[in-house]
Amino acid sequence: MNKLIDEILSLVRDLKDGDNIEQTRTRLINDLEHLKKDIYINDFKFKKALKDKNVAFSLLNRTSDDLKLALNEVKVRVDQLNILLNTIPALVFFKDLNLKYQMVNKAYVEFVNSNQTDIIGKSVDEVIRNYDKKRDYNLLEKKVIETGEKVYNIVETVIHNYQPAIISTNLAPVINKDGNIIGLIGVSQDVTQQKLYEVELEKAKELAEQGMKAKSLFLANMSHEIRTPLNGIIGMSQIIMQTDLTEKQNEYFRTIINSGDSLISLINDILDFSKIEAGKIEFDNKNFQIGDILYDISNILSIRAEDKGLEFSYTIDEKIPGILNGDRYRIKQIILNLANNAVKFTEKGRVNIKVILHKEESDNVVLKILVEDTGIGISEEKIPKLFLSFSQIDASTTKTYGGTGLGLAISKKLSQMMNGDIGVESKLDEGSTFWFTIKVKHAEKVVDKVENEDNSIEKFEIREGLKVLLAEDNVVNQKIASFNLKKLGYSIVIAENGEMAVQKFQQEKFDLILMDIQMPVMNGFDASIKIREIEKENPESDPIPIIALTANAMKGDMEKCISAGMDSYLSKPFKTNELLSTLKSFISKK
Amino acid sequence: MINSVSFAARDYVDFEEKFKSNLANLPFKPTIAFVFLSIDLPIDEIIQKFKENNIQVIGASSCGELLFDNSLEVISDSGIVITITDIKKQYYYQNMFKREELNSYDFGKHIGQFVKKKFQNPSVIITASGLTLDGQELVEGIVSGAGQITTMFGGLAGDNAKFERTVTFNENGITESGANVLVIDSDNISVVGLATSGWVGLGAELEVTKSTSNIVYEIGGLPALEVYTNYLSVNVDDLPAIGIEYPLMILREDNVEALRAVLGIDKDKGALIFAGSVPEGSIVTFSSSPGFDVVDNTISEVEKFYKLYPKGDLFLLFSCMARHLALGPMIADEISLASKKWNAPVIGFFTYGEIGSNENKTCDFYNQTYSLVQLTEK
Repeated sequence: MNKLIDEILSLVRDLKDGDNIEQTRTRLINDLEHLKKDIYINDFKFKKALKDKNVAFSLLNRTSDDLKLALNEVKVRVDQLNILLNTIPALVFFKDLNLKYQMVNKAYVEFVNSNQTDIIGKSVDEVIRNYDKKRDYNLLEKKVIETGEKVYNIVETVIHNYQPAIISTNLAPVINKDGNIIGLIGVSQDVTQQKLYEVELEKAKELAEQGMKAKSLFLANMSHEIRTPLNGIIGMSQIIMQTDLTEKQNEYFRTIINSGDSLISLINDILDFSKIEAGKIEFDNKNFQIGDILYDISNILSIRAEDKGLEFSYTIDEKIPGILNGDRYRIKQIILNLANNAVKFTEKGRVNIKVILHKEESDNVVLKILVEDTGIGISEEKIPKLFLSFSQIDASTTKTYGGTGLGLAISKKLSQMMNGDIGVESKLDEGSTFWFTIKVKHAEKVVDKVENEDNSIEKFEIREGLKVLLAEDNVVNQKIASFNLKKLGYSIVIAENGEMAVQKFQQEKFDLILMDIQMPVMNGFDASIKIREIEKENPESDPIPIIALTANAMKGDMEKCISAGMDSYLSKPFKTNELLSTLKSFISKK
Repeated sequence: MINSVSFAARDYVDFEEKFKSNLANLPFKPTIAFVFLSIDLPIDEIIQKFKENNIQVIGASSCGELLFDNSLEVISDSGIVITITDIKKQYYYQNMFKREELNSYDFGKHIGQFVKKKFQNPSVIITASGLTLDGQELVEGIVSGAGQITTMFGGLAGDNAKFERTVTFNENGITESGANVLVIDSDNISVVGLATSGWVGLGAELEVTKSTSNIVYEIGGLPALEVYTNYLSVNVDDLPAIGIEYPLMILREDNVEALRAVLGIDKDKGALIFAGSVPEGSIVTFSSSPGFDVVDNTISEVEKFYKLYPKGDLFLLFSCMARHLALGPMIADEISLASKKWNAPVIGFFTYGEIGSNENKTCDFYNQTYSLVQLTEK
């Protein structure tokens, strides 16, 4: 445009008289037209630029305000997050993919006794002094980065303030918006105090367990200490009763025997209960007939019921399979317990036992056994306490009717352990129906014979003239055993301790040894081991059967006897039939 | 080849005279004419002339008319431009549609169904009322109704930035709410074109928090009108005119940016009315032409297009009125180039919205765009 103006200027300046005015005018007009157009365009461009500038300037201002606001908001958020991070009562750290610290909170800085700038960009080995590099912590961090899995509760001991401290760490991957792992976050806690508590707790637990063991041992010893004299009292009374006595004397001795029996059943209850409490009950499942159990119970209780003028009966559901598989002794124990109570707490009327097929499954049979009486009954509010241990209805009950209050608690535990339950429906002064259910199996397929407790043994004919060595230190027990054995036609030699038993064994020939366990000089275990050693030196003769006699009716005795080389085990005070049955099994082997 | 004769007139008297003389000397038998004119001209009388001479019309009111050929370079804002052609009748259908009660999308769908029935491979030239239709929904409706349509060009009628009354018309009548559609048989007439804008986004990204179709009530939780005047430091009275120059740019999820010019305002509701849909939740920025180098950009696009399609009988140009406002006298540079390159007439108008097909052969609705279409008989 300037060039055009210069051109016009020089054209006008150089204008002289005599020039071709027409030609110059045409050129001038042409140039001025161009100039006008250029000015128009420039003017438009200027106005447009001004408008754009104003709009752009305003937008810039507003956008800048927006940015300031947004930045301020971000700052507030960052401050909040920082406060949060530094207030968290744990050591928090963020690491990049190279496992170098990118961010740590105040608690962390304080724990490692350093400062932010010294920590950022470093690895754990550089930050935590005395770090045991052999530990697999670094591998766990790597695993989090590589697999994206979280790792919880990494417990380590590190040095903190010159003292060992136990810290527990949780690690998690940090994943960005695109789903890529960009690092990991860790949260550690000082659990030193907690660990100390745990050690204390462990100690306390050990102490408690020792206490439990002591309790069991005490019970075992007690049972031995009580059973042994009791055995003497009952045994001697039985012997005396077989001599000529007056009617009065006979009655007194029967009372002694009955009291002894009560005491034994009480001890058995306590022992049973402590076994259940200790979880040491094991079921001995064999084929049985429910009818046999009821028959036995009837034998035991019907006489007592008749004495009280009560009607005693039992019925068995016909649908129940003839032979079942379960622990007949424990089933009998529960029924006997309930039925015994029924007879005890009923003054007139009747006691009836009903066995019902509750449910039959492919493998199992659920039996429901009901014991109905017309006794004193139980009020509604007292029923819930009924099955608790050491609980009778009230203290006066114990005085009137006796008992430990353990029977129902034992029955409940036993029925539950046989996948059943127990309960009662009762009305005060009208009577009670106690019931329980148990799950037993169908009979095992190879059915040889149904084991029966007593009856078959009585039919066994005793071979006379057998010679038995009885090792027993207690004179009363010596007398009871020899009385019983002699009555059966055995000849008896007595040894007063284990050592003497070994001597006698070497001197004479016996068919069988009955070996007490707790004896002075040498106990039954050692004597048996010795005898087996002697037998090894003379391999031509058959090993002699040794049957242990023990009042230690606790679990584990049987195993101990067998490992000492003994063949079987009889718990004192033993019944004649039990002795016979055991003898029979060894003698028939011969 | 399509033969044509073009002329421009200042007013009705001028038109009458030029129409008469041109018709008397026509070297071919006319079939259809393209007519773009100022809303202030007597449209009824003008179309009557075409009807009397049995010439069909595709027409629209404008925000300025343009006509460039080897002898003319016309950019006017109160006149009329005309190109009379001899496109063979068997190669096209022309029909005017009135919207009645339909919404923009369903109206488009209705048009699309018509288009589909006419030719196996139809192309569409369309002019539609600018102030009463949502251009985006109209295009989507047509595409949906026609199914396979790939080529469509056109523009929304204008009214010299008065924003009062826009019309589209044929030789039989005028409508303020409708569209005039020319369906062309692509197997016999090649219809190709380009659509280019060059506008750039400016300032912060904001979220449209309340809108229905093409009416935006709130941006960033504030009244849209307030946000617009506040950010650009402009007066409510400057709207909607200034809103065409500085449109909103929608940042679509597929990374395609769509420009939306303000065509109206609702002061009571504080709302902005756009030429096309602005869905709720859209992220938008303001935008502006980056300066006069937009023209260079258009020129390079036209050069590329020339290399692909060097033969052209006739060109239609739908150019946004905002380009005229922003580029002023420089607008002639990007128009005249096409006419010179192909030595063919370019007729068109400055619009309230452009319709075009991009390189991927999908139709879209634009603002601020130079939408050029070439018609060539095969």
